[in-house]
Amino acid sequence: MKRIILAVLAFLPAVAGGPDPVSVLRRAVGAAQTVAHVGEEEIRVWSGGQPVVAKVRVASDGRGRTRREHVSGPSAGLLVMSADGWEWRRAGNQPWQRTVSLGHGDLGLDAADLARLEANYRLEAGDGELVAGRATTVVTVTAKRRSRPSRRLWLDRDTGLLLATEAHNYAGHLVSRSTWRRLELAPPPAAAVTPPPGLPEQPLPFGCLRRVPSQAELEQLTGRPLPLPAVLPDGFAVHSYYARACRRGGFNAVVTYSDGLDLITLFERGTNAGQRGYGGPGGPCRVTTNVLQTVVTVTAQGREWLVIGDLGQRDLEPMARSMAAQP
Amino acid sequence: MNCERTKRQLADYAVGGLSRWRRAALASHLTGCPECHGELALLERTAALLAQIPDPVLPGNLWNGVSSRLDAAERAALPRSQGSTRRVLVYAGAVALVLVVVGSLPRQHRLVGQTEAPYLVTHHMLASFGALGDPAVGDVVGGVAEGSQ
Repeated sequence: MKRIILAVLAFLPAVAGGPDPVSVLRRAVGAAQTVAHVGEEEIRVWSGGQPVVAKVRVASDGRGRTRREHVSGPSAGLLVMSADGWEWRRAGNQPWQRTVSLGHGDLGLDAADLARLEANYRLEAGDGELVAGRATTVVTVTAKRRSRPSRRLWLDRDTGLLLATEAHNYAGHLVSRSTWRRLELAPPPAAAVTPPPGLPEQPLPFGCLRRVPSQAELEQLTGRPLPLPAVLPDGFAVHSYYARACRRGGFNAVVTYSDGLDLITLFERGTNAGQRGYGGPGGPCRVTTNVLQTVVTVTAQGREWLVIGDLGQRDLEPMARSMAAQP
Repeated sequence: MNCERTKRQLADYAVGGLSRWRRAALASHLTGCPECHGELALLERTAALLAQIPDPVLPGNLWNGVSSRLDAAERAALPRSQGSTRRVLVYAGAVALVLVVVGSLPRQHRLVGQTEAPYLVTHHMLASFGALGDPAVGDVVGGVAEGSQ
């Protein structure tokens, strides 16, 4: 009898499992904005060969003001501040650029994202290693389909802050790893997270995006119908619409698709580019790829479109061709 | 997965050479095993040190030297007509070899065009703002994608 009880006790933790991964993720949403902290993140990115290493000083006052300062790496000198739905960026000695913030910060995850994530990925949670001296819960996200990216997240057990990440691309290659090397749960000096004053509200600078609530409003802004793809990779759905400011005024369309974790972005390019005629009936699409992304170029309705995503050609090319097939 | 099996696969894991499922199984073991995790860290440090050794730079006239010696040897060994035929075949073979090697290069090393850089940066920025993203990572990935043009 004693032996049976011991066996049951030993088996119980396996049956009970770790913490519920969805609850862990829900708790983590917005933590970067609501938990005051300062520290340094180390980021490694593999694009073939040796990793590129970057150090980023991060601060948040816990009341929605954040700061990211790239100390080293490919974006060294970049300073990004956010507050009240705006984002200020300055690269080196360039002037500040103020734009509407496109996201809600770390772990941007609304109800629709979460539903898609649960539908397309397996989520598991368990005890993780100490990161920057803090206990973590590790959430592993693996795709239910083949050829999709996967992710591991180490979340602070007390505050929900995202302390480390590891991302593999659709082919299973490790592409990035981030880890907090130093973390202090205290607000930064107010001046460090105070955005530069006196920037006048100006027309959206070239290349900047403006979020648009619907396809109809995006078509109204661009002045043309959108030849959106009729074929999407399994599990993907439209996520957001954006208008991208053109150099000579006006807007081009940008549409994102998500399966809960992975993102495909569809960019409309200028009129002249469309004359090259990629992806016409039976014609070639232009496909370029590296570890970080695949880019398919296609012509639809006389304009050139780029389809960019962390997916293979087998998934992205049919999507692009279904745009070219439209009258 | 036990420690012995994990250690056998660690080297492949460190260079991204395992299937996704094996990686997941191994990663799961690493999470709870400080010993194997320490071994992985050691492997990664060793790989980083090895990578710092620069590629050897071959002298620019190396091929000319080899080629002229081959020519001299052929001329000495063959009658005149056979020598020129053989040389044509050698060059044709070399060209075919170059074409086969270039054609078989993994697509991963074909980089995108210069004009696509701002689109890549924007894509990675949007992806980092999306589900489970980290904006700081997005800044860096965007920078790498832009710099790899």
